[in-house]
Amino acid sequence: MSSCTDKRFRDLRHGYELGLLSPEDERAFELHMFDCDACFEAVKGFHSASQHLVRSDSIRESVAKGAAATEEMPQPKRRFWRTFVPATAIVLLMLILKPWQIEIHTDDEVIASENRMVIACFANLAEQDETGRLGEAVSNLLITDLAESDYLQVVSSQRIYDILKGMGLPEECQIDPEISTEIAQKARARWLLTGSIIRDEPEMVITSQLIDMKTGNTVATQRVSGDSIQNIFSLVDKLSVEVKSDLVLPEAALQEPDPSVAEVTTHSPQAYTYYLDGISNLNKFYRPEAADAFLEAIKYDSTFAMAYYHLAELSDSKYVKQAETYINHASKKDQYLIRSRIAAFEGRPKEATNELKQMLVKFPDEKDAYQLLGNQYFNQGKIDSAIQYYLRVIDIDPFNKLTYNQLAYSYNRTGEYKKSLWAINKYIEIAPNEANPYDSRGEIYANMGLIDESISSYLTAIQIKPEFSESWYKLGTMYLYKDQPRQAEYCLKQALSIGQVKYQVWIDLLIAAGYARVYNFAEADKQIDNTFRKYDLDTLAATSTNYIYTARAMLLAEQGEYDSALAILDVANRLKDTVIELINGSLYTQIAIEAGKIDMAKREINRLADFIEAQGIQHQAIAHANGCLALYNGEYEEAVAFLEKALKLCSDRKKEMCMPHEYQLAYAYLKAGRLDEAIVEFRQLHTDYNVDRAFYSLMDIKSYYYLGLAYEQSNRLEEAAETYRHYLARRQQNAPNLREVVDAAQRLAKIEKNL
Amino acid sequence: MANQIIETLFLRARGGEKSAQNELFGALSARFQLIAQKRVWDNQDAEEIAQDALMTVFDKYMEAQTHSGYTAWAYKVLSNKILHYYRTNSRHSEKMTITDKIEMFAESWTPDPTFESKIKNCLQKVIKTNSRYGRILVNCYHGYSPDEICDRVGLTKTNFYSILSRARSLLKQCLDKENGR
Repeated sequence: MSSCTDKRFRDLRHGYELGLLSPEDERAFELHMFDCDACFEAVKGFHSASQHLVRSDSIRESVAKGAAATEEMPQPKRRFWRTFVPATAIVLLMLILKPWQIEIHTDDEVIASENRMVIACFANLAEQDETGRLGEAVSNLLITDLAESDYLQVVSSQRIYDILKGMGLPEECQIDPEISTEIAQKARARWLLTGSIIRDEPEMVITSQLIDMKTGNTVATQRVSGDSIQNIFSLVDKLSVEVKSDLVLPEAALQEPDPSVAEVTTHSPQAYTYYLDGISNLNKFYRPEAADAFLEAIKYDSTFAMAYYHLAELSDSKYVKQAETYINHASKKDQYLIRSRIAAFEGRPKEATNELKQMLVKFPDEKDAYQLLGNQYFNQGKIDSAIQYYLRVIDIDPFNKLTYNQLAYSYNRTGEYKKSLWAINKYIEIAPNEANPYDSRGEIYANMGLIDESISSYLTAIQIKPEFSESWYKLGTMYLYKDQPRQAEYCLKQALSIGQVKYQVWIDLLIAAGYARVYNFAEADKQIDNTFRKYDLDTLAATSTNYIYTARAMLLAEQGEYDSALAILDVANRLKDTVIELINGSLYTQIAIEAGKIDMAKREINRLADFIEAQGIQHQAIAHANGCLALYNGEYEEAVAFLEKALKLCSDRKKEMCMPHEYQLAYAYLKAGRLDEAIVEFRQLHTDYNVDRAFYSLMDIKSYYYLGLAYEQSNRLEEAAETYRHYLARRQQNAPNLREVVDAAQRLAKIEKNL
Repeated sequence: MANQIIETLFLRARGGEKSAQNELFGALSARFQLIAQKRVWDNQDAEEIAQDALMTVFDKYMEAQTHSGYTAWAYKVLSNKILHYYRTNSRHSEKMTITDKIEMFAESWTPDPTFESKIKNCLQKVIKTNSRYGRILVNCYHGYSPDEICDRVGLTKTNFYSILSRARSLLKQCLDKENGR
C-alpha cells in the first residue's frame, strides 16, 4: 500500500479516529479518504484499536493513570497578576460593607455611612489587552485593606456591576460620570474611587481619583509608586493611607490600627493569585477546581487562614484547625467566618450561628453572613428561617446567584415548586454559561418527578463543563431510575473518572444498584464484587465499608439467600460505629423476619433496645424493627404506628436513611387496608427521584408491585395494570421466577382479561 | 496528491463499464460503512445508513449533475442520510454528543480483553515517551474540543495533530509487534 503524500491528512488521521476534528476538518478528511486508499486503509486497519481507545473504560482508566504518573507538577510561570480571575467572580465574596458599631459608636456609624465608598476596578493602562487583570487585583486588595477601617464602608465593584446590570447598562469597569449620581443613590455610596495602573515593570505606578458621587466632581487624586510588582501589597497599603487622608475622617480614623493588607491576606502574590482563582471557581460551584487552587495557595503560604477556611469545607475538615491557628492572618470580617466554621465543625451549631449574628452587628449589610446563616438553618431543616435569610441577601444584592441557588432548593423542600423554578431560572439568567445552575435545575426537576426534564438539564450542565462530575453522578442516578443501568453505569463511571473522590464507594454501589433494580442480579453481584476488590476495607471509612456490606446483604436477601445476608450484616456490625449499628440493626431485623427467623429478629430488637438505652438517644431503628415484627404478627395498625414513629424520628425524609421507613410504612398501610394512604405514600416515593434514595433501588422498584396491589384492591384497575406493567417491564425477563414477578404477571393478565 | 480513485470509477461507470460499476460499489460500500460506523456508533444503524446511502447513489448517479465531482456528491448523500438519522432519532440534537456517548456505551459493544490488554501495554509505553499524548487522551475522554485541549495542554493546533500522528505511529508499531506482525 502506498502512503499518503499529503502530510496534513496524515497528521489528521488519529484526530479523526479519536473524534477530535472540527466539523470542517472531519468533512475534509472523510472526502480525502474517498480518493486516498492509503488513508482509508490506515483508518480501516486501525478501526478496532480506535474503537477500543474511544470506548473501553479499562483503557480510559489506564490512560488516566499513565498520564497522571507522567504529568509534571504545574509551576506558575506567568507573572502572578496574569492569572487573576474575572472581577465579577473574585469580588463576590469580597463585598465588604464596612463595620460600624451601632450601639456604642454612634458617631462612627454616621461617619462610616457618610463615607460609604465604591471601589471600581482599576484599569491597567500599562497592558493593552488587560490579560493580566492586575487592575482587578489592585481593586480587590484595596477593598480588603480599606474595609479594615471602622470609619469607612466599602462597596465592591461587583455591586456596581450588579447595579449597572439592573439599569440595563453594560457591565463596564469604568463608570460614566453622567450616571454616577444614580449609581451612588442605588449603592447608597458617597464616594467613588477609580484608578489606573499607568506603568508596570520595572516600576509600577498607581493613580486614583476620589469622586464625590453626589456632584460627579473629583475631589482628590492619589499617586503611589514602587519598584516592583512584587510589592503590590505595600503599594496598596500606601494608597489606602492616601485615600483615607483625603476623606474627611476624624483624627481617630487616622490613629486606628491599620494592618498591612498582606497581614490580613497573604504576603505571597502567588498564593493570592491561587486564592482568587479558588474563589472564582467556588462561585461557579466548581468545587474540585476551587479546592485545587486553595491547595496551591497554601503551598506558597502555609499561614493563609482563608485558604484553609475554604479547604475545610471543600476538601477535609481537618483544615479548620490551621484556619484557627492562623486566624490573625485574616481580616476582621473573615475572622468571624472562621470562628463560625470552627464552631459548626466542632458540633456547636448555636455558637456558629452566634458568630455570624455578631458579624452582622459589626457588618450590617454583610451578605456572606446572611447567606451562611441561611445555610445553617437549611442544614438544620429549618427551611422557612433559611428562606428569610436568603431573601435578605437578595434584598442587598439582587444578582447573588448562589443565593438564588439556595432559595431554589429551599422552596423545593417546602414544596413551593413555582417559586423554586423562579429562583433557579433567575440563577440561570445571571450565570447562563456556568454548569451549576443547570445541575441544580436538574435536581429540582428530579425532586418534582420530572425525570426527562432533569436529564436534559444535567446534559446541558455537562455540555457546558464536561468534567462537572456532580452532573454526571446525578445523571447516572436518573438513568438508574429509568431502568437503564448501562446508561447509568456510563455516567457514574464518568463521575468516578473525573474524580468524585468523596462519593467513590457510593457511586460504585449505585452502578450495582442500577442492575439490581432491573433484577440483573448477576451483574449487580459482579459490580459489588468489584467494589469489594477495589477498596482496602481496613483503611476505608466505616460508613463506606458499611454501604458495601449492606448493598450485598440487600441483594442476597432479594434472592432469598437470607443466611448469607444476615452473616454479612454480622460482619458489618464489627465496624463498631453507633450509627451503623442502629441502621444495620433495623435492616437485620427486617431480613430476619423475611426469612421467618423470628427468634433471631426478637433478639436483635432486644439488643437494639439495650444499645439505644445505653447510648441515651432516641432513634428510629427500634421503631422500624418493631414495626416489621408487628407486620409479621399481623398487627397492622400497631405496625403503622411504629413505622410512622420511625419516619417522624428520621430527620430528613430526603435522605437515604429514611427510605426503608417510608417503604415499610406504605407497605403497612397496604396490609392494614388503608389503601388511600398506601397509594399516597408509594406514589410519593415514585415522584421524587432523589439521588440519595437510589441506593435502595430494590425497595424502590418493589414498591411499584405493592402500589399495583393497592390500586387493585381499591378497584382502580387501569392504574393497577399500568403499575404492574411498569414493574414487569425490565424485570420479568431477568427474573421470571421471582415471587413478586410471577404474581404481578398473573394479576396483570387477569386485569387485562377483564378490562 | 490524491489518486482520485472513486472519481475515476464514477466516470468509467457512467460510461457503462460494468467492472467499474462493481468496483465502485465495493469501494463506496467500504468507505460508507467506515464513516457511518464512526459517526453513528450503533453498528446496525450504521450499516443500514450505509446501505441506504449506497442505494440512493446507485439509483441516481447516472443522472446526477454536479460541479464539485461525483465523490463529493456521494459523500453528501451519505452525510444527509446520517443527518436525517440524527434528526429523527433525537429531540435534543444539540446534546447529541453526550447522549450518543451514553447510548453507545449502553450498546452491546464489549472490548476484546486480549486486544484491550495489548493496547493498554502499548499505550503505557507511548505515554511514557510522549506524556502530552496521555494528557490529550485524558482531555479527549472528558469531552474537550481540540481547541480546548490545545489550550489546556499548551499546544498549537499544528503541534497537536503532529503529536497525535507520531503517537499513533508508535502505537501501531507496538501493536503490530505484539501481534507478531
